Amino acid sequence: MKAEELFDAMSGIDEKVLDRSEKNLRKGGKSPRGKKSKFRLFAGIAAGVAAAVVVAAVILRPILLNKPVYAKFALAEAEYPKMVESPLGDSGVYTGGDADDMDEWLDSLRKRHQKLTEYGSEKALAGVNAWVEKSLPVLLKGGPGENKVYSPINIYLALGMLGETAGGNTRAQILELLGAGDAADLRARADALWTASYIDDGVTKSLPAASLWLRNDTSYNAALLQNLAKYYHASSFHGKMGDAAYSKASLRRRTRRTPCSMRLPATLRRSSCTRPSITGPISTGNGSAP
Amino acid sequence: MEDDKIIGMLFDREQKALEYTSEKYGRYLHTVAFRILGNEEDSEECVNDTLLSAWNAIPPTRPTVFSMFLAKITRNFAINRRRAETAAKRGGGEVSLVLAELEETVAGSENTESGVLAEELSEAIRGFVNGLPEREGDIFTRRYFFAQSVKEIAAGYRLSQTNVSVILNRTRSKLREYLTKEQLL
Repeated sequence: MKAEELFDAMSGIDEKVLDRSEKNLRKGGKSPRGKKSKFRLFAGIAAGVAAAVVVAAVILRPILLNKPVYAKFALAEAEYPKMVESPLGDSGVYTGGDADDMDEWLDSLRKRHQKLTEYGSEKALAGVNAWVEKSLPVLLKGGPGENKVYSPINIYLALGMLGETAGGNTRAQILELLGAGDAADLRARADALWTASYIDDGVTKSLPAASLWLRNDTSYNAALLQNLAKYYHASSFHGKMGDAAYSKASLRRRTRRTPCSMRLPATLRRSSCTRPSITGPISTGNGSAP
Repeated sequence: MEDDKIIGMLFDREQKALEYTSEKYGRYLHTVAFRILGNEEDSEECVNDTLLSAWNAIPPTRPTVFSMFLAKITRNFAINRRRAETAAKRGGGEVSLVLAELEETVAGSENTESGVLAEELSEAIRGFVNGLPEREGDIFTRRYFFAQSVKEIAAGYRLSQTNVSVILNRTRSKLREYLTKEQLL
């Protein structure tokens, strides 16, 4: 068969379909099912609920408009990249809507890997793989009947953070263990790995969150804490160890609620919870390291 | 004037019906032809041929959607005219791109019986497009019936060009599977 024959055969398309395409074109497109897409419906309901929550908060609970409870303990806070909401919705299929949303979302996905590409993904992964080869036999060693869970990236980043706080031989040993040339190299690698692991687009969530919970009766190297926040995306907090408020803040920060754990109308809960989400700390340090 | 009234006049053999048809759809049909031919004069001739064909076809035919009934006739004339052009005259243009895309769909086809196949193929295309979701069906139709450019389609449906290309690519794959299943490829 020739392409021309196929092109000719398009005359078989129903006149009603031809007419529909013409009308939809003039109207600027129409969603496939002739009604608002699931995503728009979800966004509309979410906007309505969000508005209601804000109104209730303003009238009844002013304290809700304040920063999170752990914010007052913060010494250095990491920033999480802002991602564009996925237009795919719950089903993973694009069901119409503003096409610019699709482009923006795809761009924000690509940007996650930009740092890794700029650093050199092969170089970064070579370092991690070398670490895995060394650490796996040691960390997963256990007795019969024992189950262990091990996250290589988690511990790699935690050791990197430890290396930042160390000096001399200790730092050299950590750098060697992690396969990094020097501290700057390790920072760039950690940042690239972290960013590539992160996603939060309203449908899929992976928040490799790290934090340090420190005593408040000691001073800390502000530049160090800023480096940890910037390159390892690890926030630092200080407070009185054992204090109820500080303990509560630590718990709240480490177990930040996902949409699945909130009380939502059934439609929202269903819409936002069918995709897997991995949330929570990858590493938390408590202590008094200077 | 309403399409039903024009069709009624054609049934009554009132020649003024052609004037009304030309006034209402002349420009539109010219665009349908122009996308395929890329030439003003040839497109104008296709429109004239269409009006004459409509006069001959109605009655007994009573079109359900008059504009698209006419568009189909114009398109056929334009395709035939294009085919009759020499290879030297036949330039690039949108239809060449459309044909190149469809070439991928039929690549490797073992079915070389063209004449007998035409009606079956048209019917298969009808069935295929009817089975598509509305958005995909519209975009497929704009591209492969009306030979509109990806840019025009994207602007018309407020999508990105990338998005339109992805949809077309996916739909062509589905078409290939469909035609293979129907043993037309």
